[in-house]
Amino acid sequence: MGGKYLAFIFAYLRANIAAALEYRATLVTQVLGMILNDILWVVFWVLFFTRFPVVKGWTLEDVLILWSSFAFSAGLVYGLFFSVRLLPRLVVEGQLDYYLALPKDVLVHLLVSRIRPFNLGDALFGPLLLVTTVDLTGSRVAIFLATTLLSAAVLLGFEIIGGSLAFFLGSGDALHEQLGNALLHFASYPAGIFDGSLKFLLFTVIPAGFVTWLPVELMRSFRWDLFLGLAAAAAAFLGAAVLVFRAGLRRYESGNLLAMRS
Amino acid sequence: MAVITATNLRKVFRVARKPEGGWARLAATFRPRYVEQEAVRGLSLTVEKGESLAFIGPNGAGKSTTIKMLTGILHPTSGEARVLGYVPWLQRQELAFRIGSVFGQKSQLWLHLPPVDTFNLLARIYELDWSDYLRRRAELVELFELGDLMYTPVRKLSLGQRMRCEIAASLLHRPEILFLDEPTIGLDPVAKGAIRELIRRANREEGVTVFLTSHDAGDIEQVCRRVIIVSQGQVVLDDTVNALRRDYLTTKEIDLKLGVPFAGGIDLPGVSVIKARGYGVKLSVDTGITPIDRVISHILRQYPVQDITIQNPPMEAIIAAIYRGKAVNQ
Repeated sequence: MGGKYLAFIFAYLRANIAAALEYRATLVTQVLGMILNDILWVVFWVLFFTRFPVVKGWTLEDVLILWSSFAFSAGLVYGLFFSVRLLPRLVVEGQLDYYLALPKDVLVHLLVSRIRPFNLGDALFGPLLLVTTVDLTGSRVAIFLATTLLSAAVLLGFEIIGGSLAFFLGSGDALHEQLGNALLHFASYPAGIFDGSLKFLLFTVIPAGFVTWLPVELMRSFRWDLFLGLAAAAAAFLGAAVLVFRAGLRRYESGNLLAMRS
Repeated sequence: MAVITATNLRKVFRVARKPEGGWARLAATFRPRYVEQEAVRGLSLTVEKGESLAFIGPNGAGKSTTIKMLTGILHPTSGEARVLGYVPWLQRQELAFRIGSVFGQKSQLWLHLPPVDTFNLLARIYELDWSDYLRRRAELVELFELGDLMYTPVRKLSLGQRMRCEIAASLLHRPEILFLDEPTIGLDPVAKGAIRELIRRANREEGVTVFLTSHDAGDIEQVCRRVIIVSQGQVVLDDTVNALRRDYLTTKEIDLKLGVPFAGGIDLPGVSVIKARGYGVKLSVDTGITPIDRVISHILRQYPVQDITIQNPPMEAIIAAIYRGKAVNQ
């Protein structure tokens, strides 16, 4: 069973890569553009921390870890599971029919069906940045990998929940995009600059705290309670995502839009 | 043996009603009003193994909604259905291994890749044994004459070529039932003929039960032996295609482009002029009274003809005729 699912996932990977390679120049331009964009952000923070070395306890190394972790987790989620960003549109336009007509779990099928290779450029950039700019030990690398994968799970769950709102609201494209953008913005700034109720919001409704700040905290000094908290958040967000998606799917109304798979 | 049974199947959609006027529409944003639209109203049917069934009706009759409920895509509002022993919306995945579906308006082929890549992907989705799959693929490539098409990006295929690939793709896993929703939509007459022949072969040579929806009366006549006509979510006729042909498809329409202006003179029993303007004329022919070949030879004796098209009356006209027939019988 697991083997057959793996073969199915790899078949999608192959098909997606083949489709991306149909337009090589576009692909290369997009990947380079994405990496350049990441580099510009890093340059900004390097300049900033050269002027102000410590901001509410955050140093340049913390921000570099934040960017490494965030580029890696967001790159994995949006690169490997790009369809999650399209979920509201697929729901509203009745394009889930394709997945419902085939013998696979709809959510798993939907997630693995579309890869966006240039986001995988982010996933490459993250570890490269970490290796080239941060002092690493074996245990720090293990912590980075474990926490980043858990934060990717939180991000994926959050995106599925946001996208599934379309089942209930009848639309939701704009709301999903705004929620996603809010998370991306908050997650890419040091935690120290946010306080109080906003901080509470960022560990619940817009879980930027789990996506970047906890991984950074754990890289500074590992604590099992924080690590288990992150793991619990990942399980909770993914679990809630599955429940919300399934509840939404029962309300799915299909549609008759002309559509081609691309 | 029945492979599809549906009893009192009903589907109601809740649709937001948009009032006219700016303020009313703004108010409706905060307090939307919904109306219920009953797409399928207590539909019941049974399909036996190996049948070729045309499930037809005008736009909005509930055809696609019924197919989507029978394939597990939609949950019904009420009613029961079993397809190959499964409740489609509860056992969707198990059922999907044993049925195939072709939606003329939704492609399963990847636009930028050649069909062979989508076929390989489908083999993994349906968990086919790889050597069995390669044998089956070779069989279908030969049967559907796909040859070089298999290695041409889908975006470069004609609609007819694409549909041949779509249907072959849906047969890869040897489905016991093939659901086809408007498989000939948008095709030219030659491509329509080819697609109909392929569906007929799948039914007669491989024993696949065919459940086909279409707007095209030609699809019914040339592919199916039984026809169910639905209108406003209900079955209005369930009969053999032969009976439909005898009772309702006796009329054909002939579109003519003449070499000289039309000046009447086609006085045959059962033939009437629907429209005439300049060089163009449209005739309605009751083939039960005067056969179509007699009408054509009569026209050719009277006029030089530059172009001629013979077609079935639109589905809406057939449905209207069925209603009229029912009213007369009652």
